[in-house]
Amino acid sequence: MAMLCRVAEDVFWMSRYVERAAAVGRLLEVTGHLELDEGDAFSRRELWQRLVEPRSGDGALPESLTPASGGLEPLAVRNWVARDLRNPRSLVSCVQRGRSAARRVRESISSEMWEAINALYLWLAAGGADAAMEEDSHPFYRRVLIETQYIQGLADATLSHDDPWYFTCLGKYLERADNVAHMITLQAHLLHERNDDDQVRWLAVLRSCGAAEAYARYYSLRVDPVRVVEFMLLNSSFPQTVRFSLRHAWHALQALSGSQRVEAGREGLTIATRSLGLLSAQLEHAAVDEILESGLQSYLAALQKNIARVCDQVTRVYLRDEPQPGRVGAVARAAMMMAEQQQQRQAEQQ
Amino acid sequence: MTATAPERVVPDYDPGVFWDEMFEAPGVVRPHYATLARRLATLSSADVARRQRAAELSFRVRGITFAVNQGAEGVEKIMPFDLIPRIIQADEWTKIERGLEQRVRALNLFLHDVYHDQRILRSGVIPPELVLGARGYRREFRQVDVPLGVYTHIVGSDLVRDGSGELMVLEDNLRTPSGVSYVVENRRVLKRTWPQLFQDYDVRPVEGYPQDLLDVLRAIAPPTADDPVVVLLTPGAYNSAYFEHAFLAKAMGVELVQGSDLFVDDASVFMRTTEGRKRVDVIYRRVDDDFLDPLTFRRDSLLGVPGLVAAYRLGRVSLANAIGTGVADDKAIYAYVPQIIKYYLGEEPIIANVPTFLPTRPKELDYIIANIDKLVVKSVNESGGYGMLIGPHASQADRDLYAERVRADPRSFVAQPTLALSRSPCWANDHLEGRHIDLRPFLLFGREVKVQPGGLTRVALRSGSLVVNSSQGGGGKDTWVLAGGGS
Repeated sequence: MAMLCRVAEDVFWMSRYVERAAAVGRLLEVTGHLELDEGDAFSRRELWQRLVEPRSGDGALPESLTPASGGLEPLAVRNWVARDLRNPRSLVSCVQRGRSAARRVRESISSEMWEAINALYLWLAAGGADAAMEEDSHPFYRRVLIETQYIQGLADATLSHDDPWYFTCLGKYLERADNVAHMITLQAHLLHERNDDDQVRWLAVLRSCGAAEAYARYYSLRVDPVRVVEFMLLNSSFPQTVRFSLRHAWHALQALSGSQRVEAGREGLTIATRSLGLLSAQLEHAAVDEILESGLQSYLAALQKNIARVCDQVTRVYLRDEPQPGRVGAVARAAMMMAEQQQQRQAEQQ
Repeated sequence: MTATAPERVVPDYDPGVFWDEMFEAPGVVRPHYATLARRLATLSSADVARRQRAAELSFRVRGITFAVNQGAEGVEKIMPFDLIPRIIQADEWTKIERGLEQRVRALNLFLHDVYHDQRILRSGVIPPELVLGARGYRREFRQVDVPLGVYTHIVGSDLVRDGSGELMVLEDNLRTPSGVSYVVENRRVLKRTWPQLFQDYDVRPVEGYPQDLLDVLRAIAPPTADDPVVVLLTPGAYNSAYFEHAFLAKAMGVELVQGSDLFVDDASVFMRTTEGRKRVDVIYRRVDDDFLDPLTFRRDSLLGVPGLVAAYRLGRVSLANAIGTGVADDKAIYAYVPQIIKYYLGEEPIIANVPTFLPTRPKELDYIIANIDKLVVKSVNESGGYGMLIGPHASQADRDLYAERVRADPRSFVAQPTLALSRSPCWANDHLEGRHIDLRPFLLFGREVKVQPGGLTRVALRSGSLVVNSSQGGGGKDTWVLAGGGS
């Protein structure tokens, strides 16, 4: 079923923002826990500082958060990542942006979804986000996670599984693949250092992807950095891994292009499907040893770049389908002139 | 149950000197409100306050909000909702229905006439310069035929009751009237928060409106469209009525489009979809005439669709309402509606007009200037409670200012006596207080006329205020039309 391009774009981004809000929430909570395990102030700061390392597309950090200002206060970072509206990736920003997108397409999503995302927004806007700054912030993150997952569950349960739903899937899984890659990047440097306490950090990677239990069940081994990387990138059946996410994003894109009566000049479509298909196939057949050999950090950077490229291609093909405006204007003006002449003739006849 | 409640809700209610919808006299309840009054008498004020909060929360979470005219994002307000329903008896409603149908039929004949042969202008019933010089008159649309000959498919006329209890039409809204979503939502919220109220009454449902609207929109599609594609054109998410646009589009299952989603090619209208272009046959547009098409009207409009007017004129796409209906709800032409009804239908108006003085008539201008402290002076070109002077409540400086403006530009103003609008009990300050109200029923006109059994009762929430517009601090009430024979 066809849908408006503008609506498709907003549905895609709504879904990305909800997924991103969940990821930011997990990361904040896990970092808060890790902090408690770190003995000295230096390590604590270092831990939080990683959260403000810039990602492509983000604006500059405010003055108070640049390392030049003499080291970052964990509390300031937490505030920036949790609820500062100047940070486009803060938890509250994500919810606000997701809600704005949902509001623009509220007629195209289910009322249940709209009300759930609106309720989450209203709660945070009414001061709910202040709880993120409290020492005992567990109930806050728990609620954020429950509500974001509730919204995603509603998408599956209350939307027809046709184009709008496929756009929610595409947005959710591309965002998730990108986030998981980022979470691993945050700790990738530890692979070179190999320190006994690192086990806690790698466990934290799993937790910030909501994958600790699934990992334990799968390997039934102590947390090992290489296995963690392998699991989060390459596990085929757990829904929070890169491989799983890319495969499902690709399925969604295929479903969307399958329903497409392809018109002339839409070769871009094939390009997007091909890039995502290639990327997904790469993950399907990769081996962790080869990835580590080639360098984990560079591998992750390339992966994120490829995901961003697919997003661009999708946006170009589906969401910005411009007709030829020059011709439209000319035809419209001609019709106007014709109509005016008709009217003049009628007036003369009277 | 709550017989021992310390504060009772009803007994101290003072109907004042006004016509009260619920009370005939202090302590004497009108028969059709008797059951409601008995129920209210059993309640404590804490109980009502709790339900009031629940209703407000429901509006907020469901995003039933409007943006006030400030342009900034984030100023979303809920329309204040009063829990006490306004009840209209079946026989009075029948009169309202017949009166509105008569009025709308006559106004559509008038519109057809002024855009075709202009018989009424030659007959001397109404001064031609008043019509042809009206801001809403679109001379470009002379001799353009509209589907079914109907210009105003969606109408929301404002009715008020004066001090004697007689219902009158205060103004006609024939362009893009809004508020119908609140009729449906007010009912839904009241049912949720206070289901017991409905037990003893046979209230006619209002939920059928979107389906009826869809029928009308499909009925006016170009004859070439077998299975017409209908869309709703909105100015966007920052428009004050955006909630309503989304509500109606969703309930009808049609696309909610913005100008940028549409384009015209070969004099047909298309929308940009993920599967390429898709033809559009009918546009329920909630965008004013002036902004519809930058090629025809305002060149600076970003809301419109270049070429849309040409496609419309060639009959490739239908619009609801038609272009150019503003001439018939012009506040000066309003004064002639009784004559318009007589001229086209040969009937007396079933619902009266409010007496209206036109400054374009010299004698009436003198009267207006001499009595400006007793009159309401309205600009003919504004709505929403803007551009209005309420003489008795205004300062002398404002009265002088308006007298000056009326003299300088008589065509742009009308004056009416200040009506003692009827009042209805509303929940305020922990008990019931009388507040002035009006009524906006919604009427659909396709192959036939259908009036939604209900309407938006707007409430001037500030004590003593006569302004009911939501942009000016007004609220709403659920409006119950009782099924025939109900009490």
